[in-house]
Amino acid sequence: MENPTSFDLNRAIQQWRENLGQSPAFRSENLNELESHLRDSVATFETRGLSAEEAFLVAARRIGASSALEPEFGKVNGQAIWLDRFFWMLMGNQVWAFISGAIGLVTGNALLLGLHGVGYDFKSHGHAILVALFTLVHLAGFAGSLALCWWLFYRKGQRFGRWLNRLLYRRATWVLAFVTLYLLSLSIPLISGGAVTLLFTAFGRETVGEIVLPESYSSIIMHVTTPVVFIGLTLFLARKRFRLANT
Amino acid sequence: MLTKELVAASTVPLVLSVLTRGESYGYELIQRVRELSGGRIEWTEGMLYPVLHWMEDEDLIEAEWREAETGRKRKYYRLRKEGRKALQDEQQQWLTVHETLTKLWKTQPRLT
Repeated sequence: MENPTSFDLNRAIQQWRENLGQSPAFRSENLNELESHLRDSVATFETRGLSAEEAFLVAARRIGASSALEPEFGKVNGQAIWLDRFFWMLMGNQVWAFISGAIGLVTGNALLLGLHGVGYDFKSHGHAILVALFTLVHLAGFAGSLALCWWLFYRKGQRFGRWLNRLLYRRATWVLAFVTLYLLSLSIPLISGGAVTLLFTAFGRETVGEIVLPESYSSIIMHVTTPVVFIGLTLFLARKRFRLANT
Repeated sequence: MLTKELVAASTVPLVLSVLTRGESYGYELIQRVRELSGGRIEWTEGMLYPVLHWMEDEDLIEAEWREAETGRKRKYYRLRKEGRKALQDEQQQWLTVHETLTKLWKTQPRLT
């Protein structure tokens, strides 16, 4: 061996294993078995005179690339793959709820405070302008949330996924994630409840009625609009996905 | 070299046949098949494991994690009764193909 300190077999195997472990197609028992195979294979090549590094490289190549093994293991581990998908759906759902909730809260209240700041008279102008304004702001918030999620999952997807994967290996992450998600899901309703209370004290009961009514109209419009966007997005992604699957 | 399709079709009977000689683990199974075929049957080694797990689900074989003489743990596979039966069927089918081809190639001039 030329330089015995430069190659650490256990580390190389650990990295190889983590690389495979990124895919849900491999259960940890599968990885144990593949690792056992790899170590047997490395030992055999070493007795034939290869260095540890060469033996590792040849053995890993003989086992096969992750891209070749993944579909085969996927066929026997269908359940694990669906669990993984469900996990990501839940994750996406919570990230979306948080991002869109936070953006909606900030923009809605910013509009109110802004109108109040310029001395807008909520009682005398009728509802049409307020409904339009609220809808506009909510639509902008919705588009912003979509853009942020797109940026997070699509643009930063690989790096974000890898970072998340590494975190998920640690137990502390799970505790932290639970506490954070719990606090986050508490905080949005709490803050918006607080905002309504503040509204009542700042504007008085009658004016709040004039504000809440157009806001409800606007939220009806939003509730009709967002599913259309989501269904459209689903169809778009489905088409893209199945076109990819067929090539 | 065997085609991909033939490798896929012959993996189960090869595994069953090796296991009739006693229990074994993945790496050893592959070594046995490589030796017996004179190196002409080469598997992408990792591909064997999903097949073994499928055979386990079908009750053809059973498996057990045990410590080997190296001190590391290995998963050993053993033939079950259903596996023996499946092997008999396989044997019948492969022999039929083999006999038919042999007869045909005896009565015909060599292709090469």
